[in-house]
Amino acid sequence: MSETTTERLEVPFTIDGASYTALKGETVLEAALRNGYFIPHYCWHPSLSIAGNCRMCLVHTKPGPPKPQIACNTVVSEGMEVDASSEKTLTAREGILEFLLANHPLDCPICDQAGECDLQQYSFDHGRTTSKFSEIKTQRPRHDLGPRIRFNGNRCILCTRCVRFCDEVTGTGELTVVNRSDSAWIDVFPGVPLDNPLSGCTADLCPVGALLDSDWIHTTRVWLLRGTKSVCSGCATGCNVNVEAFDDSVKRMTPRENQPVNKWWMCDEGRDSHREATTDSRLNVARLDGQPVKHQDALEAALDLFSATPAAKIAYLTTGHATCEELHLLETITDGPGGVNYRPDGGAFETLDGFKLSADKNPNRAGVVAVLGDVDAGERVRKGIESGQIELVVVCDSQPGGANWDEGLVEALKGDVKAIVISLEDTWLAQTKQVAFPGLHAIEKDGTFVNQNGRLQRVRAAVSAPGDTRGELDVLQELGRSAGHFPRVLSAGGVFRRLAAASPDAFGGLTYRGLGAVGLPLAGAADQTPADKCQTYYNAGPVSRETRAQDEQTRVAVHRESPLGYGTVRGNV
Amino acid sequence: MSHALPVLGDVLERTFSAEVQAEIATLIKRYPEAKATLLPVLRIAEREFGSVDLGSMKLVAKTLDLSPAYVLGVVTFYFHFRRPTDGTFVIEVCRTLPCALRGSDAFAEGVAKKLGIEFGGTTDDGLFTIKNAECLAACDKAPVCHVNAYSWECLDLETFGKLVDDIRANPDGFDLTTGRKTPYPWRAAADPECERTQPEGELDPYYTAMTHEPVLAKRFFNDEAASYEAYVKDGGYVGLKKALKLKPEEVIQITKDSGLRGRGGAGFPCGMKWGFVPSVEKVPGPRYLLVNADESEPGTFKDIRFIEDDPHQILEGAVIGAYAIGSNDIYIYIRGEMRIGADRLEVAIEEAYKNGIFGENALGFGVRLDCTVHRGAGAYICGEETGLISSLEGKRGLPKLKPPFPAVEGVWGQPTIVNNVETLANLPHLFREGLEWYTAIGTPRVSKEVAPPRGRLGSQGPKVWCVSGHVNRPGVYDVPFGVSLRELIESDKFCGGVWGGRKLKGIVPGGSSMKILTNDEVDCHLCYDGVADAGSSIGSAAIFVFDETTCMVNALYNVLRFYDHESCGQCTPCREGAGWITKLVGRILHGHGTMDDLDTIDKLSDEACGKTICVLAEAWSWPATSYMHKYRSEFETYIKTGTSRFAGRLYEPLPSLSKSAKA
Ligand SMILES: Cc1cc2nc3c(=O)[nH]c(=O)nc-3n(C[C@H](O)[C@H](O)[C@H](O)COP(=O)(O)O)c2cc1C
Ligand code: SF4
Ligand code: SF4
Ligand code: SF4
Ligand code: FES
Ligand code: FES
Repeated sequence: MSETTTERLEVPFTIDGASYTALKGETVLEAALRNGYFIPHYCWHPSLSIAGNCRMCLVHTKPGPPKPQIACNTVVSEGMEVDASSEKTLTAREGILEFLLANHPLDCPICDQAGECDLQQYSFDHGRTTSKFSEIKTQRPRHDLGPRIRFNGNRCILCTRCVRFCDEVTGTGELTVVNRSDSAWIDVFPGVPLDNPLSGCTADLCPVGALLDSDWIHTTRVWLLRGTKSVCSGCATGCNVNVEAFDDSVKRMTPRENQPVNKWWMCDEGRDSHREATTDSRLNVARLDGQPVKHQDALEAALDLFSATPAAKIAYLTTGHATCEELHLLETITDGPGGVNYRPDGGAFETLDGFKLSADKNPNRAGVVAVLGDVDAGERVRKGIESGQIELVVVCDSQPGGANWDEGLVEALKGDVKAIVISLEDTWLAQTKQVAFPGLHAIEKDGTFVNQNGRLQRVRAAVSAPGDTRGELDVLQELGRSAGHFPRVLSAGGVFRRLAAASPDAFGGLTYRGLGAVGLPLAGAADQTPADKCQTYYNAGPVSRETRAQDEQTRVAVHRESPLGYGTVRGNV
Repeated sequence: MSHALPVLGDVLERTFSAEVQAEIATLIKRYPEAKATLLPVLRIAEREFGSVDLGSMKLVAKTLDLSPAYVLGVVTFYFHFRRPTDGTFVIEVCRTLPCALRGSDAFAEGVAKKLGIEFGGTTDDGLFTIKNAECLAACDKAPVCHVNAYSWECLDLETFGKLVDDIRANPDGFDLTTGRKTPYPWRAAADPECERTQPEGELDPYYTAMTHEPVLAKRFFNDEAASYEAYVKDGGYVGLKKALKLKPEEVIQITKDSGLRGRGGAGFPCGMKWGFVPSVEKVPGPRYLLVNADESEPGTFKDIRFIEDDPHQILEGAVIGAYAIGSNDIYIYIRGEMRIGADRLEVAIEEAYKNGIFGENALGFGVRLDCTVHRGAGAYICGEETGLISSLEGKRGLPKLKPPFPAVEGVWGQPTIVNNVETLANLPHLFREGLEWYTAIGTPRVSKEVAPPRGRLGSQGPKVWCVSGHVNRPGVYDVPFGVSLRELIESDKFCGGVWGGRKLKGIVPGGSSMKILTNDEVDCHLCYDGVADAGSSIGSAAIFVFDETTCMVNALYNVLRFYDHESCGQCTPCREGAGWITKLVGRILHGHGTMDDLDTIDKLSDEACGKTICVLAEAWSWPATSYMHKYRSEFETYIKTGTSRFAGRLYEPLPSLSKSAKA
């Protein structure tokens, strides 16, 4: 695909009389899609081998035989005339759809794919309103293929995308087509379920409602979901995602294409990462000496504490989950040492097409290095506390489950040292120290993370936080303002501008606008892919999901420009 | 139609013994990839554990480093593996149309009654399982069944009853190989010593050389396979020696000049296909010659005669082909059901190895040449050349997308030629007797300038035909191209006319996928061009005959059921269309048809044909549309009255069927 484009020669050809150029060796379907000409298709996917079985992409070509050819397996030749919309091509397409619908249950009203179903979409675009079919429909089974994937055989169009994904991308081979003719269906070997780390992607790849994510199923009609382009905070890979929410609650996370980062994929753990924001252990009120109080009361106490302590005697502690903006603020408002806690390594996984699920479960470890440089795990902070040098610690802990501080540090923190805690979870620190504020989960905040390969990417708030949560940026800026660091409280973008100005070596020239949907590499990063090379002409997920998501994106966005603007504000941005 | 997974047993922990592991290791050496041994290793598991159950699948997956799901997918694609619920003796009764035309339905009913079980069931003593089978390449000897893949032919219920009783009496020692009916019951009559004279008047290119001793069928119908010695005595391997004196390009050229066209069904010129194999400079690496011995098109039973009776004829042809395309590896893909055939081929190959035809220094040329028999496992679609390639590679037998064409990128990604058994069996004769002799047989090639029907490729070389259905003497006939179809059926020298003195209703000239010819259309010449002009094709040379009592709705339903069952299911129009049209015709058959259904048959065929990966969609569309159009009034009457003249039966049985079958 994209790697060798520069060496490829261009081949002129036409579709329906309009001139386009294909790259040498490119198929009609690839060339059409790359040129923005949509030819309906099910089984073809750029990351999978060509199966050519759905026959949806039939076109007529000249030169070519009189019978229609599948666009996904026909290489463009110089001067080829592709007929993708004449009467006879459309009739062929209608015929294919009628066959696909023959045994299909047409249970759209109770099907979770409805609204982002390519069968529904193409039937609407190309199908007939009536069917000649008057036989009894063939029944195929429904069953769970694995812990999160549910299969509905009657809806399956046997495009084998899911099977090829497990064979060619994850290499785990859990799925197969069993039987043949119209009694074939998708199955696993008994006792060997579909549970590879990327199993959720099979549901994204399925063009119809045959594979559905049981984590999400039966919760929301897809047209009610509002997507926010963000980044998954599950690990250092930084998969680009759409955080899809309804009624201010996240229903699912689905991958967005970003070739150097996550191709079209994301892992199952990442899909579940939004659940970290809805645990019972979350801190959702401010605390003063352990007691729940109003935000304003806690803030006043914190400001008193902060301004009463000389900056040199203030240290900070944070985690690999803090955004670059939060890190920058922490460093700016304190003069004492800082310490960072990281989540321990977890499972890594690499697909055959080069998607790397990182063992590093901290989304912003590289950001810590870029913003703070050399920091330890809190050693210097502990020494400072023990020697009496440090009197106040600002703890900014957005690690799900709470940071797991070093034992010595815990002992030191348990002593007289004062602390202002901003925490995702209701940790012992939040419960025992002077002031505590609830923090935000990645699905609730704006900011940037730097992934394992040095790509700076934006996280965007998709939903509002529970209770009276203002979040890290707000509290840290209030503290800093009281000490004269900033004239006013800025948005995440504003803080980033300050960061870029303060660390021009790493962040110089970067802006939120420039980061766009796919991020940009930091200077010297391993991944130097420019933004316009991150996405091909093909999106993750069913074709019709993408068109829907694009509509949403222009129409609806979530923004919180000021501290008063908390909550989700919908409107054009 | 059942839509459940076959019962596959429990996932038992199983292991292969050291000897079996060694056997598998030897097997793997015969293929460039271990995965290719999947079907043979499953056969080994079947032998070791009595059936292919989930436990054996898991073991085989481990042995060949495949995922268990992959093995499950492959096993459920094929229908010929023993299931855990199968009895000791699996009896498969052929129910496909040519057999049905000779009473297999009534026979099957009797079988079920005799054993007291339904089809698919197993007797309580665990001894017998009965299954429906599809054309077992013995249509001339219907009714037939396979017992543990051994053929039992020319059966009636009395003989079958005795067979069951004999097995019951001696289950361990009973010899299953004795069911084959040879010598052929009416062989003498079939031997065409016909003196055919040139018709008066203008020289008719269709009638050139009709005086014809059996060429291909010379050693057919003996009780056992012709041995190497017997074959050599008849001039065997002389053609090969002559071919080896030529350069491969010359061999290809002669084959082109001979006009030899593929006998597998498509009729593609053989030499031209070989010529598509790219040069080693262009595509380096091995070339493969695959022998298509998957004969399973309903009505076809010619290849099995070469395989069982005269395997050296195939081997010699295959070696000539391998030499022409520069291949060191020949794989003979034989239908899983042909157990005797596979055994006999193995023996012949062994003889050939001993006589230096295969081996490290094959034919004294200093090059390696190996030949391997690869057994299929019950899937008609593996006869399609790319389905065959998939199956040989150890996959579900799914036909592949073209391009790339096999000659350029075939099995294991290398240039590959797939040739039918009979196509290859022509080569020894061509090279032994020479071009002139060869091209004098059949109808000549006339220059392109001459208008059709004469101006085409012609139909040269010897040919065997399979005739079955309602004729007095069904069988394999070695008769040159050009004979009139009517003559073949009606002449006393050949099939002896429609049985019971009845009138001819129609003839399917080339296997059940071809269009039917009505009584008015059968005065055509039996050759590629002649039958094409009549509106059909000689396909696999399987000719079956309908007498006047045949119900076309019933016949069509039988044909469609076959293709529905055999659609590989990968591409939408064929998978859905085959099921749809079968249900539709079934509905008419059950008296619930409407006149609109007839239009739907047309539309479905139209929407599926030319839009699929292989031509199986045509294989069900052609019979559907041709039966329906050519016998439309019969379909209409059926729809109006809800039944046929013969109360929905396929045909009116002959009072004296058993007599005539044993004549
Ligand atoms: C559905 C289908 C089934 C076929 N079955 C057979 C078969 O059983 N035996 C055979 O020799 N050819 C069969 N063919 C034809 C093969 O695809 C191929 O044309 C042939 O093996 C080529 O050999 P030839 O050129 O020597 O005829 C089949 C084709 C199709 C489309
Ligand atoms: S898969 Fe699509 S067409 Fe089928 S029921 Fe679901 S939404 Fe409807
Ligand atoms: S389950 Fe979905 S992806 Fe898999 S074959 Fe069926 S339709 Fe295609
Ligand atoms: S036409 Fe039928 S048999 Fe051939 S590849 Fe398609 S589904 Fe399979
Ligand atoms: S997309 Fe081309 S056949 Fe499916
Ligand atoms: S053997 Fe029964 S139809 Fe051919």
